[in-house]
Amino acid sequence: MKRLHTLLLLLAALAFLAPAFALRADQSDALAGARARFEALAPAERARIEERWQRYQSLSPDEQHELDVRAQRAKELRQRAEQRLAPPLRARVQELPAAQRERILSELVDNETTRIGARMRAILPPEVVQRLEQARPEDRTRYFAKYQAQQRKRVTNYMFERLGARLGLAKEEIDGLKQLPEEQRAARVLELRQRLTQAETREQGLPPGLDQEQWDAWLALPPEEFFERLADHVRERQLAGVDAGIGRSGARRPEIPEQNLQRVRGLRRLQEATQAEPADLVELADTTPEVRAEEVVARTRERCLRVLAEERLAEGAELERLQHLPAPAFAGAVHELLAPLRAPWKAQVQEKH
Amino acid sequence: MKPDCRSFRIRLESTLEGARAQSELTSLAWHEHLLACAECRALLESEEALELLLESLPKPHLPPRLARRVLARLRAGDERREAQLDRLLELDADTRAPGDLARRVLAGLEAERVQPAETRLDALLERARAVDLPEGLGKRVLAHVAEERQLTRRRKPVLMRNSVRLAAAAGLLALLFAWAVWHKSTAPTRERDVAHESVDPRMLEHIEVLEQWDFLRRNDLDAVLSTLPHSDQLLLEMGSEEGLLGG
Amino acid sequence: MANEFDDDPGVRWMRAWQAGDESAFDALVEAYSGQVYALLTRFLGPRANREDLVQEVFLRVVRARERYEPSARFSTFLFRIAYNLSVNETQRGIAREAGRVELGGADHARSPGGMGELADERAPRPDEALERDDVVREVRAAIGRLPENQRMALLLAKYEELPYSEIAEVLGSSEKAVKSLIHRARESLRETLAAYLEEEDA
Repeated sequence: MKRLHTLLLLLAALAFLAPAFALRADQSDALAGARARFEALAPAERARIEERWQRYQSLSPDEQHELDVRAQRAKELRQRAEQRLAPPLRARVQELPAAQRERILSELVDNETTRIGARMRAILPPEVVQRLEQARPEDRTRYFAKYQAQQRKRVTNYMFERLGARLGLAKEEIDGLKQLPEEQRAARVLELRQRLTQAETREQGLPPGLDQEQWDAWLALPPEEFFERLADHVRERQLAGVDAGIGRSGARRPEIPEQNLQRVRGLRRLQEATQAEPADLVELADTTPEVRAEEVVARTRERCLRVLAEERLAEGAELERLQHLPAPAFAGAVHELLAPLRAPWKAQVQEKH
Repeated sequence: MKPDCRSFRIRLESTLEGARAQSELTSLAWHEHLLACAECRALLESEEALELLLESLPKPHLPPRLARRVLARLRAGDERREAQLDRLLELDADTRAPGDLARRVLAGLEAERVQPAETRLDALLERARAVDLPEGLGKRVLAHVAEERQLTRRRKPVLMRNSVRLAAAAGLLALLFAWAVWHKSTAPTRERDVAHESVDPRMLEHIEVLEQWDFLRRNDLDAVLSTLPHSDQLLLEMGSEEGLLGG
Repeated sequence: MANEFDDDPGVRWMRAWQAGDESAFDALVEAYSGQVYALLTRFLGPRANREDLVQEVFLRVVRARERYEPSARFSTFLFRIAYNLSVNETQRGIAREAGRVELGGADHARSPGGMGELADERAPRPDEALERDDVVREVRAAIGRLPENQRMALLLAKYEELPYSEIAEVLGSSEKAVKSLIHRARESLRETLAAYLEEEDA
């Protein structure tokens, strides 16, 4: 009797399960690519993805949306990082097997993140940076998003007026620009800025420190790149101008600008040296994480020491001392040396382009 | 402790947990947090130095033929049991058992392979003719041996009878199935097919997010600052240049 | 009755021995006595009667012959026995004194083999021999001063490279507790050995 009951229960259970199996979701083409990627992963990685999916689902809708947006940006960062690679290197990366390619690209994105982070810290007001640093990590994105949205509105309104006026745009056009939705405003400002700079250069000649060839090359770039190059250039000169020597005494000395410029460029080179070299990452693509970590740290250190010597950023006994520091102290010392590059932007009053 | 210190230290601890900590510790040297935090830098250096110190301890020197000696002594452990038996046999002051009695008793017990009865043991003991055995000696010896045996005999738990077990198993299976059905109908989650044939399409839709999870979940300042769209970043730069950025 | 530990050589030997193959026990002792000895040395120091303890460990294995069921790697099982035995030893106070003296002391160990047991596996260079002995003694002393559970957790993690889950098995506690023990152990060591940690490598 007991046996019969058990059997009946089992049959009933199976009857319930059958439609569940039949109700398998249809796969659309859009997902085919994602599915292919997923199935190309090793079982351990697949399990990891599935685990993260569970965690994603346990987040609030707001948090989920935030992640989705960031994923989009991260994709852009990936593309930017890949674009910055020299063409032969880029080709090599694209030829690598999927897993290695992914890993290298994420390491490159890490580099980009550090680079952009440093840049942003330099341009944001110090109190804003401090507030973000002291905030709880989970609050940072929200604070920054709010701050950024506020500033964007203000800056774009101002720039539309000013650039519009200088370019001789009609009032209706300017008003139209000020009505643009949030996402489009920044790009339009950059566009207008490029136009204005071009016009002014035709009238007044090249910005100081640039030659025609370089200028023409820059003009051919998309507005974002153009602005970035120009901003870097201006920034370099600004640093060279206000930086009265990185001597220990700190006294202001009448420096020959060229020397300063060299120093700033040397520091820039040092900053680049602290980032992992894409070529190295590709070369070490198929080593184990431990080997890669050691190699990357060793090569970074070598590169930094070389730049320090070549650019005369440290000499003699000081260089000797740096050479023998343990890794964390060495990184800290380099970070100290790079402090001038983090000096806040000052508003340019004379050298406007 | 600043929040970044905490997350760095968690990272440091999990690196130390891995067996291959050394090289990974070195790679932490360039960790973003360390560039600004001297305390954590000092901590990392100190942990690295400790690892080196611990590693530099000489390996314990293993005595040669250790295993052989241990085995020999384990076997010789039988001799100890003999000695204990000897002591037992001498408990009564006026009994003096012949020297090799214990060994012969033990050997006899082994040879018997059957739970020796008291009487048999007495008989064994009586074979050593020169001995007047005290009363109850056999009982005492058996008790001691039985004690030793208890340490090695496994007490089998009373198993359930087969039919009861089957019914219990079937009942459990039924419950499992019922639960699985209920779970499916109330919470549509991904099915894990044995052949991996069905994968949740919603998960696939979010595959980009899931692949970059570690990066996206970063909330260090660089990560937060760098996920601003490029043009918005440059706009802030422009604003800064123009002195427009507020606090 | 197959289970996940069946691939472990120790488990296989135990099963063979349970089934009646007496030589399998010999194989167990051959294979694992060194490891147990090394762990006991690190844990208790050179003067403690480690060979006796090793024998005691395997005696308990003998007694466990019939009821043994693998629930971990065999070495983990052995370490657990060794730990319990060692703690008993130190609770009796004998080994603790000996251990502390030996772990921190300046005298040479007297061992059955006759050789000083603080000797390195490789011959130290003449110039570094004296210096290194000091450091080594200090480090061993510092480890010896750690409370037993912290000490064992650290040794298992560092020298046996056991994952925290297995260390938890050995100590009879949770992974979380193990993490905490190791954290505290390292903290104590860093404090005690601060002088040695600050020296820079030339």
